[in-house]
Amino acid sequence: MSSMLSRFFADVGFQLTLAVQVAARAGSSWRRRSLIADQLFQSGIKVVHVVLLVGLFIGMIVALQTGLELSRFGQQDQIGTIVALSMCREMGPFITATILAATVGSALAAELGTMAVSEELAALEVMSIDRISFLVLPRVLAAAIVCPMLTVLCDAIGIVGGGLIAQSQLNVGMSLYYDSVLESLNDRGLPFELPKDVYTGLFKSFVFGGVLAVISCAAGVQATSGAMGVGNATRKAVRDSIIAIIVTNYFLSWMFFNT
Amino acid sequence: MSASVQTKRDVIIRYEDVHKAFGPKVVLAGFNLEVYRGEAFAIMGPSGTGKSVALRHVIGLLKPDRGVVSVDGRNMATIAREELRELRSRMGYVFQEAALLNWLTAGENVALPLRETTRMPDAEIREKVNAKLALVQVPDVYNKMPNELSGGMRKRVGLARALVTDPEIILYDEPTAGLDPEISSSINHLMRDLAQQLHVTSLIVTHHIGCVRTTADRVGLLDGGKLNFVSSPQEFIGSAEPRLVRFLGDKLD
Repeated sequence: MSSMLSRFFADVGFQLTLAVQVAARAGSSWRRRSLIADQLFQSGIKVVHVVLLVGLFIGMIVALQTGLELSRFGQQDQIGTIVALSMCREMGPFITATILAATVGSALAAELGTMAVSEELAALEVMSIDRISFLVLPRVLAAAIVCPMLTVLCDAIGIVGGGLIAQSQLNVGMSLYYDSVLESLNDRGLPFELPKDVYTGLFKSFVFGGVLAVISCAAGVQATSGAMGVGNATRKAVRDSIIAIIVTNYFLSWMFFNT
Repeated sequence: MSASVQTKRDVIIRYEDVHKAFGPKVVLAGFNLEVYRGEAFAIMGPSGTGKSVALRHVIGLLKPDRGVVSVDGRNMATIAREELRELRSRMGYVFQEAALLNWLTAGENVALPLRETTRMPDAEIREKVNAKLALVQVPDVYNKMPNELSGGMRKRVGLARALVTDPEIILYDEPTAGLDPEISSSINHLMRDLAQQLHVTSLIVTHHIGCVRTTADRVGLLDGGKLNFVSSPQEFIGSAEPRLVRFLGDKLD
C-alpha cells in the first residue's frame, strides 16, 4: 500500500514537474511552429471524424433519455435547453477529451515510449538537445489547442443530433428546438462575447488537452523494458489521463458554476 | 601512435574507483581506467557485465554511486549544466541501434545537433551533413527515412551524426552488434580510418574481437565490475590467462 502511494506521488510529482517545464519553455513555441503544426494535424485532423460521430450520438442519447422523461410532464419543448447546456458545459468537453486521451494520448505515450526504449531520447540528451522543448512542448501545445477546436465541433454536432431526436421522436419542431437552444446559451460573460456555458466548456477543453498530453508524454518518457514497457506506458497514459480529466472537470465546474 | 601518446600520458578520460549498482545488481565495483588523448581504447566483456553502463558515465547519462568519472579534468557528476553542454558538444556517441529519430530523414538526423545547438546557416549545415555522409560512405541517403536503410547504413548514419560536430572524443556502444561479418569488418575499418584521419580519441565497447583487432590501441576486459588485463590487442589475444582464454575461446575461432 505504501509503495503504491509513493509511486502515485512520484508519478504526480513527475507530471507536475513536466507541466512546469513545458510552461517555462512556452517562449520557444514560435521556434517550434513546424513541429506544432505537424502535431496539430496528427492530433486534430485525424480524429475529427471520431469526434463528429461520437458527438452526434451523444446528443441523440441525451435528447432521447431526457426527452422521454420530459414528455411525461409535457415539457419536451425544453429539450433544446437541456441538450445545449449538457453538450456545451459537460458532454462536449469531456467526450472530446476522452476521445483524445484514447487516441492521441495513447499515441503520444507509445511514440515517446518507443523513443525512450530505443535510446532516441538518450541520443537527444547526448546531443544537448532540450527534449522538453523539442518533443514535449509541441505535443502539449497542439493538444491544448486542438481540444477546444474539436469540442466546438462536438458541441455543434451533438446539438444537431439532439434536434434530430427532438423532431423525430418527441414531436418538437426544429425551429422551436433551436430557439430553446439559443435562448439557453444567452448568459454572456465578459470579457468574451461568447455564452458563458460555451466559453467555460472551451476553457475546460483547453485544460483537458494540456493535462492529457502532459500525462501521456510523462508516461512515454518514463517507459523502460522494451515492448512491454511501451505497452504499460500506453495503458498508464490513457488510464491516468481519463482520471485526471474527470477530477479536473469537477474542480473547474465547481470554480465556474458554484455560485 | 599509441606509444607516443602514452609516453606523454595526456589523460582525457579517467575513471577512478567507480561503483555503480541498479538496485541489488552491482554493475561496476572499483572500475579504474585512463584513456589517453588520441588513442582508441576498447572495453570487452561478456553481455550484461556493464560495458555500456561504463560508457554512459563518460557523457553524463549516468552518475556513479561512488568514485569519479572525469573528462578533460572535469568531474562529470558535478559539472555545471552549461559546461556539460559544452563538453558534450566535443563528444560524439554512436548508439548500438543507431538511435535515429524515425520521423526525420537520414540527413535531417545528421543535421539535428547543428540545427538545435548552433546558429549555422541552413546551406552550411547541408554542406557539412553531406560531407559527413560521404565520409562514412553513404553519400546518397540524405532523403531516405531510417526504416529504408539497412542495419549497416543506419550505423553509418549514426556515426555521421556523431561526427557532425567535429568531436574530439567518440564513444562507440557495440558498433558492430547485429551486423554480418562483412559489414562489421567495413565498419571496423571505417572507425580505424576516421580515428587516423580526424585524430579523435575513441572509447569502444564491444564483444567482437575483430573490432578490437582493427580499431583499438589498447583493450581491457570488464569482469566482476572491474577492468582487467589492460594491454595491447596482440597481448590481450595472445594471453595465457585462464579467464581471458575462457572469455576469448570461441571468439578467436
